Amino acid sequence: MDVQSQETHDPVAPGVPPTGDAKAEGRPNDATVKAVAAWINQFARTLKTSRLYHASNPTVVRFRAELTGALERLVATVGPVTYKFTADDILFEDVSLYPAKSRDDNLALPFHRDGVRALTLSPGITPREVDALVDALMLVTGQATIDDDLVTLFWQANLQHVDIDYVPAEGDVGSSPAEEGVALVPWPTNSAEEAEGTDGAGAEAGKEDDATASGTGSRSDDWTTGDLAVEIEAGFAELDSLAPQETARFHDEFAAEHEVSLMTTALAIGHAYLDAGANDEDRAELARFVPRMLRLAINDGSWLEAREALALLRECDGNTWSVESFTQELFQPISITATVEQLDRQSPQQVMEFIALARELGEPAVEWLNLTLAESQHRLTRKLLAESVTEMCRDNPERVAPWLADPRWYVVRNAVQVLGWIGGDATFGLLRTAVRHRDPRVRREVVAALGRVDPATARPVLLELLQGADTRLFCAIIPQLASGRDTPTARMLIGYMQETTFEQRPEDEKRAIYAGLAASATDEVLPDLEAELAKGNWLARGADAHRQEITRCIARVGTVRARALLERGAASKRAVLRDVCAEALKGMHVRD
Amino acid sequence: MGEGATGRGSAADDPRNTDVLGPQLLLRLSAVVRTAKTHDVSNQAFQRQLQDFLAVALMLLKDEDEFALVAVADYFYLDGQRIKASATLLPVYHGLLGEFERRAMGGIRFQQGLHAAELERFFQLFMGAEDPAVAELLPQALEEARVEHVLTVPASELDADDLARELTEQKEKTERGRAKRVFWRAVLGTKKIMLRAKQSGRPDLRQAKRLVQPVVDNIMKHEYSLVGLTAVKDHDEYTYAHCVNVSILSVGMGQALGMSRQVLADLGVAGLLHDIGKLAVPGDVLRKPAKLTNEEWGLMQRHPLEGVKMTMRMPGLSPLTLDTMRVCLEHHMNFDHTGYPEIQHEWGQMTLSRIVAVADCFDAITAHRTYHKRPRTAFEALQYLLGPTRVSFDPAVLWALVHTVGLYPAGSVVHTDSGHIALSLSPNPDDARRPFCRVLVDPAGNMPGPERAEEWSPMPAGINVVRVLKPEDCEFATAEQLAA
Repeated sequence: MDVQSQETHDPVAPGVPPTGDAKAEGRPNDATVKAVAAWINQFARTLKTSRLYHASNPTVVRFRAELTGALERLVATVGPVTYKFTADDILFEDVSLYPAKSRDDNLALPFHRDGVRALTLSPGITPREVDALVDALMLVTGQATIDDDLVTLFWQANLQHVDIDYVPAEGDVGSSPAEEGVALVPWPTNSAEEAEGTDGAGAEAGKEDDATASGTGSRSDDWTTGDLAVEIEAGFAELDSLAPQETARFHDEFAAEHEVSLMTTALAIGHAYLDAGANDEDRAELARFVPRMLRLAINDGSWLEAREALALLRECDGNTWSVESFTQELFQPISITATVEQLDRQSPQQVMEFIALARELGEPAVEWLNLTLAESQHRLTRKLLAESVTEMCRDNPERVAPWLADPRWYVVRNAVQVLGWIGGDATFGLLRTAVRHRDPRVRREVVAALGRVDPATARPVLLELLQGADTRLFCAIIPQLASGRDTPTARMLIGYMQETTFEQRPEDEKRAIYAGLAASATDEVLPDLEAELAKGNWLARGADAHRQEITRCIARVGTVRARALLERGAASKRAVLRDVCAEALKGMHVRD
Repeated sequence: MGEGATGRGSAADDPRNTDVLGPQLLLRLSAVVRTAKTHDVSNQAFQRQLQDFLAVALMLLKDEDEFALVAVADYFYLDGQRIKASATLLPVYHGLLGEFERRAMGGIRFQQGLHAAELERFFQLFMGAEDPAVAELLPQALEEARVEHVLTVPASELDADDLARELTEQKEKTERGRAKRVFWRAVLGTKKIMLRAKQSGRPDLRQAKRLVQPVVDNIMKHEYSLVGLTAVKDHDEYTYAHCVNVSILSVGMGQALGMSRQVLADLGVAGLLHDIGKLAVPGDVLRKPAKLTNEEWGLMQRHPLEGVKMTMRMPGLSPLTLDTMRVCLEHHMNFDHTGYPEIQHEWGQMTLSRIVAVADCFDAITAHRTYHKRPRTAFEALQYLLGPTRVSFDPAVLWALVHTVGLYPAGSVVHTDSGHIALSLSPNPDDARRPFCRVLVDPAGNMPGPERAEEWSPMPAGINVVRVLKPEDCEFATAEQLAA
């Protein structure tokens, strides 16, 4: 961008208006106007498309490439093209090209509002420069608040083939009369004669004082000065000889400074500010600034730095900053999404840093962790988050309760899992609320969680869950119920075996029943087991396997009576019975 | 200059009249315009200014039918005679030029019969015509308001005038012309930033960036006339010019150190805002000409912290915001950690802060001060900085300073081995020992005067500086020559 344009094409002192003949010669022909108008329309369409889709979208890429190509052809044909901007129109040689169609469809406005009065596009313009024009317009017309106006954005883009006429950022003529003579940052005036007359001696004495300590001695406003000087050429010669290594050192230091992250720098400045003798008012100002740092750190996923920012905030102020208000920002869906995106990309150690940050926030931490847990797509991240929630809710499982009513099944599942990890009868009432959840995955999790509850307490719920349970759920419940020797459970399981439909059960369920029976059978049910062994239908398929399982169950009972039963069977006249009982006896251990 | 544009003027033939009344006219006009921005025309304050302006205008109309005040090529002309831009008048000059520019106005003609009521109506309409589109209708509006004795001259009419056009083209071709425009716009813009910062409690970063961009462009094109203008000190807006000077010098040093365009822009902004904290220092401490008490010095030493506070209030959190904060905090710390404020834990002065520190010190100690009978010259400032105090500054930055301002900085009056006495106007980036100069006295002892003086662009090879004259050894109006 050529700053000279503001001198040669002064926007506020228009150039010589052409006289009659000159006007006729200078008027652009219709074809040129049409071509120039076509390009600005294409620019507008490209802008609209770029707003709708991501930059990498093929349509956007194509539009931008076509825009550049069209401009290259245009300036190659007609030479440099100057677009002028009013508040509601784009002009070429005073011909209207793109009048505003509505308040929302006014391409000229962002240019005019930011002080741009004309744009001259020259041959040689590159795709990068055209992209920069589009990107700048998108920034200033987008939703996000940006710090810079178009002039600055164009300047930063360093557009070599684009001249910009803009209203300079100069001041007014001066301040109001009331401020005349009272400068905002006044300079000490020269009352030299007066000063010398009264303070001359003081000034002399002052020079002998410690200049830095109190600014006495020769003073230049805010610098302490003196009268010592040196032969300048010699001084410079020495500097010049050292220049190569000193400038190299300077560059290295500059590079090192700019490798440090923004947050680290901001934190360091905050600490230095406090160290430099900040008073209460200074601290309060810092306390208003640090939340911005905190937000930046959280947006960047820099959890350690966020913790440091929090510590700094607490160091400078305890009262004005509200963690509750701040966390309300964090809990917004868009913030949670951004946080989770960071977490799911990060290592377990970084996730732990996040958790440590959440803990620093105190009470709101549980909700924040639960919200991120609900959104995370990464299993390990979820595990770490859930474990942390467990720890934080261990003494008060009620804190998990709100999540049990969440419409998202996986959120309820997570909450149930946490309750399961917490364990104990205190969680029973909460688990009960999820027993009838519509999603079987939740119900399975409830079963697992009930494993940490006293069996007697959990039993009625487990039995309730058995009603209409699918195979997975059934197989999850049976071991819970059959966690110890229990005659009613054993009888229930025998009842399943005695059903005519037992053989039609899935293998998994049959295995679960056998295993459950083996774990729960007592002496009281031995007669039923014996009867089951003695059942007829010698030729039925699977009968051998069934008898085998029964004998294993009996062997697992491990009592004297159980052994006696097997010994009787081993002495049976029926060979199949004899064999299975003998086999079972081999591995049997009688409990004391 | 065309008759239609400037009118007749026998009074203008008297150079004293233009020399005396011209600046008065500009001062009064500036005062009226300033007052009109904040007061209604019926307000007493405005009326007072109006009467003062009318008094000067009537003096000019005493023996004449009309007089014309015309702006061409960054100068004002009163009936064809250029009104000299003394250093003290410069801010007013450039401010008024801006007002004329905004209205696409080339000049104003005042005619016999002028009276207060008419003048009041004129200024009302003048103030309302800030947009060029509205300004186009100003002549018609004046006619409808029956303002008969004040006529505006559109800039386009001057553009058609051959001489005016030639002057304009000449000015725009010269680096110096461009530099002056950039410099004064920056000074006036900085004033606006400071005024707003005083009210809002924080500086306008967006505006600061805009002010610095032309500075960076000039410096990157090796147009060092801008650096030369930092030597103009003795005027009312020096407070704001100091910020601009530090910015320009910092950018110059950054360029010498090979920094990139964007870094130069950030450095320029940080330099511009380095003293923003002084807005919080009590005025009587800042204004005090005598030695400061310990308590007062303590207040003065707070300005770095106050600067950080103000920059904290800027929205967002960008690298530039942090750079500006650090520069505010560190620019007095010194490279050897002997400055202020003191930081308990280990803390190093950032590279950009070191640049701004040197620029600040160099510019500040050449400003008018009370302990010295006269201000230190830039040359003496260099001697001081390269002397024993150099340990307080980064040697790389000191080297860059000399490359930026030259060994004989702008404003230095040098005596050469060829027998010339010359005024250094701006540094020569290619050779620190050979600045761009204007010859004040030739070897024969002739003093040609500024209009006819030979200019060295730069000092020719083969001519060397023998010594630098102290201001008390010569009586040249160097400030006016630098500002011209």
